[in-house]
Amino acid sequence: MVGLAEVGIAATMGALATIAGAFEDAESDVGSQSNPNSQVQLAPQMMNFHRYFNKAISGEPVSYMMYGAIAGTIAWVFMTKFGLPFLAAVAIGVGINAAVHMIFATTAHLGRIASAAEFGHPIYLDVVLSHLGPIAGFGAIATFCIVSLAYIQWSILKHPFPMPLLAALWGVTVGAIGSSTGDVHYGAERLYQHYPFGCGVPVAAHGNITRKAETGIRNSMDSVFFCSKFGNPATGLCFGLIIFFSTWAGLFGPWGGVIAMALVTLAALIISNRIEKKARKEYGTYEDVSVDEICDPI
Amino acid sequence: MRITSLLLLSTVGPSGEEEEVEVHEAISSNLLRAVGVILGIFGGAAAYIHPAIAGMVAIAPILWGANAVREVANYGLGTGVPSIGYMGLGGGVVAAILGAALTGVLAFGSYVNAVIGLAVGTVVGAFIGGLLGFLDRKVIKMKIPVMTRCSLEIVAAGTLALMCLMGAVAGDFSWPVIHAKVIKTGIIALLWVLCAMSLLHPFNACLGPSETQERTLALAAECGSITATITGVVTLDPVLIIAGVIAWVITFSKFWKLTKRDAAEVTWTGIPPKGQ
Amino acid sequence: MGLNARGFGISIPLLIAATIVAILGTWWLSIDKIIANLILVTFGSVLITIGVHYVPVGGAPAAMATATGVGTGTTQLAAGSGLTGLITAAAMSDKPFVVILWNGAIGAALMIAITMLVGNFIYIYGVGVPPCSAKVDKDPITGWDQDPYVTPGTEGHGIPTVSFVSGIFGGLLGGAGGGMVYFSLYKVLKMSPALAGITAMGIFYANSVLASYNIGGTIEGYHDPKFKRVHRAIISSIVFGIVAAIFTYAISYWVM
Repeated sequence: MVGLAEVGIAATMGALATIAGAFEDAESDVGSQSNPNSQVQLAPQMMNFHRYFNKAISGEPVSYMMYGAIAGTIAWVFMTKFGLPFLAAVAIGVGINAAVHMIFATTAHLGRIASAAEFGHPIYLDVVLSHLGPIAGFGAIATFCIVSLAYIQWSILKHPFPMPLLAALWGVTVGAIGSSTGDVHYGAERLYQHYPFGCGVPVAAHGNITRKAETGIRNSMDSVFFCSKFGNPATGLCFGLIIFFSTWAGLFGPWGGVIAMALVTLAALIISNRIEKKARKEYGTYEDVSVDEICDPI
Repeated sequence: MRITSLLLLSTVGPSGEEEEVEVHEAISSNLLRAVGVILGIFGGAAAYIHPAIAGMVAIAPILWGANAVREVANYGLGTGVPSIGYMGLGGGVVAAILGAALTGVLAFGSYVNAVIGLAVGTVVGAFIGGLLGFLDRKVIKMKIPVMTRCSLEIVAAGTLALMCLMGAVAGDFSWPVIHAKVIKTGIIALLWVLCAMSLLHPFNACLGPSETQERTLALAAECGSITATITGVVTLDPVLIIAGVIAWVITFSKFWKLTKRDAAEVTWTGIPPKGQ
Repeated sequence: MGLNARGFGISIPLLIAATIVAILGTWWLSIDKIIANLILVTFGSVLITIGVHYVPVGGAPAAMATATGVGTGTTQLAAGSGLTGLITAAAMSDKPFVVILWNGAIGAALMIAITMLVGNFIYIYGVGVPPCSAKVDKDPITGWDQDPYVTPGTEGHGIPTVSFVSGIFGGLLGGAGGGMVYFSLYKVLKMSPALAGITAMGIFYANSVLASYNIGGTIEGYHDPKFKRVHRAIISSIVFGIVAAIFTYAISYWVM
């Protein structure tokens, strides 16, 4: 029987997931992790020196799997061994994870930029130090929400998987979503802001990332200011909807859940098709546009 | 133009000419293999003396695996360096659990059991890795000549590192304890991802034309130290935590020295020059 | 229409076959363990591998709107959806096989569908490009022209309808494969949920990396010419599935 409590759990999990998704994406934008990272990596090769943070810690799914697993396991150990309440235990887990996160971020940036020595790219230490705070902070919020999700599922919904495994698996999911939705806003728009709006980035322009900020030379923290207006909340919405619908569908029983999830999937297909049609009609074609025009910086 | 074609190549993946890439080595790969296997198997089996031994020797197979990742990823895999790490540990976790399960049916005494379990697990890991590499090479037709050998080494090293850490968490490399303390609790997921990251992060982080083997391996040892420290934290073992932190300080300062040596310039701040 | 026939012709029979296998349910527990495990793990591996080929991923170029598909790596998205499917499947652990299978499948499909929908929101409203494919002249499902809408110098961007449908199939197949492997390890071999979960995850990762090497990092869906390479990955996954089945059986044999 579905009571108010179950609906409340679904809503809470959806809310936690929304926060996790939004901050996960913000964190990856501060460090330009995952796929847009290829452009930050390519830039020195194109003699385009920059002050971006080059945080190449694997892809987001596995790095978030690591954060979730470290924080989740430590929280679980402190809860079971010392009987700490969840909130205290998760604070310890997230804190230790933040330290590991900063170490990995530092080594990734130092390693990548040092390997660009052939092109003469210098390492700026202030870039490293000034970005570590936001990276650890955003990462900690996201990790906290992931571990909380795993805890709710493990302790209240009685999922058969142990809590550390659940935290690791939700980390993979949030990383996969963050790198496939929000990062596009960062990679295709923010990194190439001095190119015209309304087109993809041609291969010929790759590596020629925007160097200048609103004032001075751009660094990666400026990107969050931009992406938090669309990319980050959209990522949060995406993860929140997934968690909400998959938990909510579970309230209809095994087969009701399958039907409910199928209907949501179908609705997503229809909405996507409609906005595709609308975009085609309103944006028009690229028939009169040449590559040179698009590759011409504003 | 060269850059564009490089980029296209990396997106198109397994195609193009097949040629051996010369990989510069400061430390011999054979030494890393030998040390990785011997220390991993005999050190990992010593977990019953003190878990910290098994936790710290995991660094040896991690160095071996990171070196193999470096060799194969120099060719460009088409999907980025990390994928080979996931493959290594994806096959590795099956082999590692198999090696651990084997100790449950042996009856030669604790240490010999563990040595056999670790050795069989590594061989099974090598078999799975060799098979995956063979399939990549012959069926999927990847144009990487060293794929079979490197995949074999990566999965074997990943398996061995994972088994050492399992022994460190359980306090003894024998199945009943490992099942109760490592697998049922879900800590295996943590060990899985720590091993995968330790294998793939060093080369992934040092990717670029001026990459050197010394720096990559220093970073691998640094990742291994973090892995050992975190293993110490989740088992609440002060010896392993202290040993891991000391190892981290040493390896990180080594990495930092090599970074300063290899980098074009290390400065506090500055305005990046506009290149030609 | 040949493309649709190929896409639907492979995925729907596979899903039906998987459902039939699942309806047999407890019958798998009555036959010899090694045979049941061999069939289920190998079939699950094949489903995972084919599923990866259906998921439209553009890899790093898609994150710059330079290629059609979701802007992330193949392994990453497949693992994200497949492991979501694993979580939903495991939540139904004590239910019949067919329930586990379909919860895994539809959980993964839901994850991938919402990700693609929000991805399209970002492509359309954040980057300002209409979703289109450079691999086909007309979308095989809607019949809309593709070529004029492709930014010059790129290989398409966004997730057009055909890729969206393909992605849903990819989620269904991948999730069903994960659920099938999980069922085999948990019910047939009687492993504990955690052991079955982590082993299923390992098999999932190894298979999805094999598949992603086969497509070289990017694919737009079943209409992509690279999809023709799927047979190589099927052979690989059958071989790997057999080996994985034998090793997982050995684990359970020694543990029992």
